[in-house]
Amino acid sequence: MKSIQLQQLAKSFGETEVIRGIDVTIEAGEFFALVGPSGCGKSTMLRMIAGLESITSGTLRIDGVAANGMKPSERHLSMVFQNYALYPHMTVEKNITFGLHTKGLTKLEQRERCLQAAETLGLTDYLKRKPRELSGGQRQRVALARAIVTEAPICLMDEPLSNLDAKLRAKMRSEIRQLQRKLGLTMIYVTHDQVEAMTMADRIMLLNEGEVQQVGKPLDLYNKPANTFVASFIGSPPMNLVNVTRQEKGWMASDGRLFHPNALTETSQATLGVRPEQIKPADEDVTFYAELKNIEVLGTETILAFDVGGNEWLAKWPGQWPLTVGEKVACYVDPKQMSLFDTNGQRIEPRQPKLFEALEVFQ
Amino acid sequence: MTVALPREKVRTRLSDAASGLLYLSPSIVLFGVFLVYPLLRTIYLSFFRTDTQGTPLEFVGVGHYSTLFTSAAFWQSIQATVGFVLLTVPLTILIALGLALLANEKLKGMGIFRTAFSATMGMSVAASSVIWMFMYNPSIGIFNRFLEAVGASGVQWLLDPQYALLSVSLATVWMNIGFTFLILLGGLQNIDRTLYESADIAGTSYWTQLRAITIPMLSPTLFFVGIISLINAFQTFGQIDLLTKGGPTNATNVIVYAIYKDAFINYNVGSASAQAVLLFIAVLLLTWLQFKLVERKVHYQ
Amino acid sequence: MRLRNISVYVLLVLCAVVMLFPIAYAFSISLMDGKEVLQGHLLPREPSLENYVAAFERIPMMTYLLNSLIVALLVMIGQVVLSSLAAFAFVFIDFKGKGLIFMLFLATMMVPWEATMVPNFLTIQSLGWLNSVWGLSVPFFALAFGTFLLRQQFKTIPYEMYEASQIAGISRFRFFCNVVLPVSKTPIVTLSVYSFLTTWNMYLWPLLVTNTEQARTVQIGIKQMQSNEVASDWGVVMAAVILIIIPTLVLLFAGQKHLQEGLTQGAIK
Repeated sequence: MKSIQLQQLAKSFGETEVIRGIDVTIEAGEFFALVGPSGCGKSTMLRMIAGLESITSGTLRIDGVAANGMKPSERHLSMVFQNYALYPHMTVEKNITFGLHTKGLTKLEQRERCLQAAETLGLTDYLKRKPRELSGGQRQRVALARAIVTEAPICLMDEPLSNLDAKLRAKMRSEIRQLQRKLGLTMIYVTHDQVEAMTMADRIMLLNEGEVQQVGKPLDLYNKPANTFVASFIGSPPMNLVNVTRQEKGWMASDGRLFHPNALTETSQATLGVRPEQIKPADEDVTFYAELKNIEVLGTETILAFDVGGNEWLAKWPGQWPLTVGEKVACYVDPKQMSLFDTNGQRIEPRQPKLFEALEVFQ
Repeated sequence: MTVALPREKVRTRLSDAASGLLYLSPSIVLFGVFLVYPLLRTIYLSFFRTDTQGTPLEFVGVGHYSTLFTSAAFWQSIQATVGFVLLTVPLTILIALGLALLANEKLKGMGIFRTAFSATMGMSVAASSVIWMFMYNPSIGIFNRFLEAVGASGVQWLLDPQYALLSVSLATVWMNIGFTFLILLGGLQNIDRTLYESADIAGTSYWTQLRAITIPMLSPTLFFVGIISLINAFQTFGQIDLLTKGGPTNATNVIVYAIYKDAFINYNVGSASAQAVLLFIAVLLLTWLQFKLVERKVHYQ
Repeated sequence: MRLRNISVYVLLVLCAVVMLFPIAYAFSISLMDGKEVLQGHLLPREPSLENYVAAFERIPMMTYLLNSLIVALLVMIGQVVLSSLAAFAFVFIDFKGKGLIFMLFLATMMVPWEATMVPNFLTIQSLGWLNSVWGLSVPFFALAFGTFLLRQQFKTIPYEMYEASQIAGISRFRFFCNVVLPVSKTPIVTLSVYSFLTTWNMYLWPLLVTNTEQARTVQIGIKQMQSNEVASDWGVVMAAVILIIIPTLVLLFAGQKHLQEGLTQGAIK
């Protein structure tokens, strides 16, 4: 198992800065997800770690050793490409073992490892076939087999599931995660799908336009998004946002609704965020009333659409609710689950209890 | 109530066929007149003794063919043709492949080199032949000057039966590299880059990648280039006419030149037609053979 | 890594020098005067264009150039028109026997030209087309390769577009002119460049069907220089050579990318 450190890593293509000074340490044996929208630089970062793309500035350390100038083969990693990069003219077996001869393994050892990997991934029956005879999922597994057969401590994955259908994707998510745990690999996984990142990763790094938006455990990004970008990227449907102004009694949206989030701040303008699943049907406490614009009944849940301060908000209520469009429903939101962001989109931390506040004055 | 369909919507199959043939007719007519008819006529004429205008005079059956097969001159032109093909085709492909591999590297300024290597494609056979003729000139040509400068004696590049075929072949290889290079380069550029990246991560050497990835993935293009080059080689004419006129002593009398001489200089149209038929069959056979034998090894995606 | 890149560059330069040498040398000779040529210099002491002037004066260079130009343009237009019409029929019109005719088109590519040249010559002769632009161009208007190239392109046009035009009542020909052709500019340009190049460079056929100075094309003109007093004046000969390769080289450089893509498409098929 090896750790990876990025110190002020940056990349420019000519004049264009694609990645701006990134600092992060990926722990040994960790499943680390690189997420972000298309063009955010996540694939470029992965390729820099792999050695397929040169590093413009900053240091890349693999297990503490500076690796900027190292050739890809010297970095002891394996990589799974988005299009699998299978050699169409070689059998599955040859595809898996291609390149193993550079590691000094005898033919016998190569075949042994290949058989082991094939068994782990259920490919034993397909070893003599050619890639074009395999389904998408099977090809994906061949690419995986090729990666694990090198027994490299670091494994890089570039959107490996994006070419599979939804059902297969869900299955492979779990398989890949289990494989990573079993083999103890340090895995860096690039994806644009936040569900994949949330379900598989130990930690997530969210990128946008070459800059880090947030690094942390999945639930941290979910519960305490560092800015409005993270808030809207993570979670499906994304977090609801509305601009609010500070009033005497609380924070008011443009339609007059009042909110009382727990947040410590001096500013008078902010953005309020609430996740759809955090808007609940009100029992006694009513936070606000919603006039329904649209209702989607999915069986397991019901999604309500309504306006707040000029924005369309969604609420996700568990179960099936017999509601009609135009109806006014009472909603409740726990103040602890409201997020507040300043005018730059940055998170404003929740308010500490009054007691500690008072104590601080004395320090 | 019946709804009247617009007339344009009602297309009978007959009108489709008529329309289709209308669009195809210019091509069909021209193919008919200038390809099918002449081919059939050539086959026909090969069985006749003709006058100088090509009019058949007397049916001789396979007379021309048997004369050819027992004529030393004919076998000499076969020899010249085969030698020429063997000299030019493999060499052209090898050199063009090497240049394409070089030009495919991701380095700055590659565009200039690509243009340079494909330049011979913009040269006509006549222009190239005249330049090479000058270079082969025994007294002022640059090759002999160079030989003399290093102390060796000059060579009669085009007049010595030993060297003539070699000289013409060398010039031909040069002429054909441009086209072959362009096609092979296109094939190389179509190879998925991630295949090489995956091999880089595994740590395989340049030569391993060349052998295990590039050549197999390039095989459809190589196959195509091989067929085209082979067919072209059998149809060589211009450089022979300009450089050696089939000589010296028929050393470079490749088959198309022999046909030309027979038909337009000796006015022996019947015999020329027979040779043309034999050429046609040979090309067909070779192409068929290539498909049968080599295509199995070609890796299609 | 640096070392590898440097050695690649060195190899590239060497190869480029070798490959371009004949052309560069010819150009250099064309700028020399007769004495320097005989003395075996590589570069002219005082480059001058007098050889080029001589080329125009001593042989009917202008006539040759014009003839080649006209013929090449004619064939280019002819091939594009016929190939696009045929390709259109293959893609958008359904009729019995289409497959068979397509196979026949394919078969034409197998026939070596030489097997047809004698009767073709006689045909042209009997049509009275010897020494005329028609004899030099018409036989080549039908081109299977061009048809296939454009067919590949036309197939990428969604059939629904055609059906929509039919429902709207637009005639097939209109659709062909106003939709199919404009959208296919790139392969048409490729085909045009290819046609022009190959026609300009044609040798055997013009040799057969022309025997007057008025009718000759530029390639045969070059051959004529051999049996001319100009033959030993290599400076003038090279000037003529340079003159005839300029158009094709220019075209090649301009259309290089297109040509390469177009040819590769054919190869992959």
